[in-house]
Amino acid sequence: MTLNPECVGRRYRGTPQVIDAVRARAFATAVGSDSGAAGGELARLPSLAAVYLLAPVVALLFADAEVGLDLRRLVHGEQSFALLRPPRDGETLHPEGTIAAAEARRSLEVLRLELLATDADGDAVTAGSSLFVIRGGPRGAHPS
Amino acid sequence: MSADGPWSALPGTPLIAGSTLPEISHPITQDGIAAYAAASGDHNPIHLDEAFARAAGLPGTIAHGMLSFGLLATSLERWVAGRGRVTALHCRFAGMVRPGDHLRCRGTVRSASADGRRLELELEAVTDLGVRALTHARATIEMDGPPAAPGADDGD
Repeated sequence: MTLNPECVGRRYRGTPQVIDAVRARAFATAVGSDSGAAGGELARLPSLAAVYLLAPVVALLFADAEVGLDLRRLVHGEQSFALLRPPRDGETLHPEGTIAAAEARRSLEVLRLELLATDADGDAVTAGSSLFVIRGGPRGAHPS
Repeated sequence: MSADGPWSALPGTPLIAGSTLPEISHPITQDGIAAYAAASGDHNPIHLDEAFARAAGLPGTIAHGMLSFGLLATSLERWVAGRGRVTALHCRFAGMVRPGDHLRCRGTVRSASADGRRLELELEAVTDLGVRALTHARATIEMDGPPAAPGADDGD
């Protein structure tokens, strides 16, 4: 196992993320949503959590050499988001992630990252969970 | 039934236990993948650089798994059509999606709370080549109000 089992519990605090209408509109367009054009609330777009929560935390995880992730063999296996309340346009959210598991499973290794975005009061806005799989060979799961 | 852009809502979609939601097909293009990379900040060259992707053992560039996830979420948005909001979404990334594919998103309302306002959906996304891209997908929807009475026009 190349994953460092002692990394469980390691916590990453991402750069605070402003829910910005321009950025949200670009993301909405990229995922085929017209919610902004139709006058809807862009911040309610459920997959926007990929931008304000997942991306800033995963960037820190992938840069942490002590975890022992082999990025050449890493694939995104599963993703969950729980949207506790819609983010508001213009508000700043604080993303963080914690490694909840790092273990070997047959020829694979898996790392589970628990995610949480909180608001200025420290209240949870969005929670999430990412499962990353480190393939044991060329016929493992596909990269995502 | 299949809907394929432009990305209008489907307000008449019945959202009650047992409903099968109309398939929504999203075309996957290299330009679309590049737009997602720019919007999400994920510039992994396996999505953007054909030569790099082939050197990595792939048949060519592939779409981000999170792009497929986003397209499935957009399908949910179209089915819900402003009548509620998605409060939870989960999926497993199971198969590759490539430029030229169409990602076909499907769903079923598996169950509803007693008042009909909390819905549990089972979802999947399959390419037109039959590749099961997203599996074990599920979502929770919190509706803004109770379901429309049978036969009522909830489209306006």
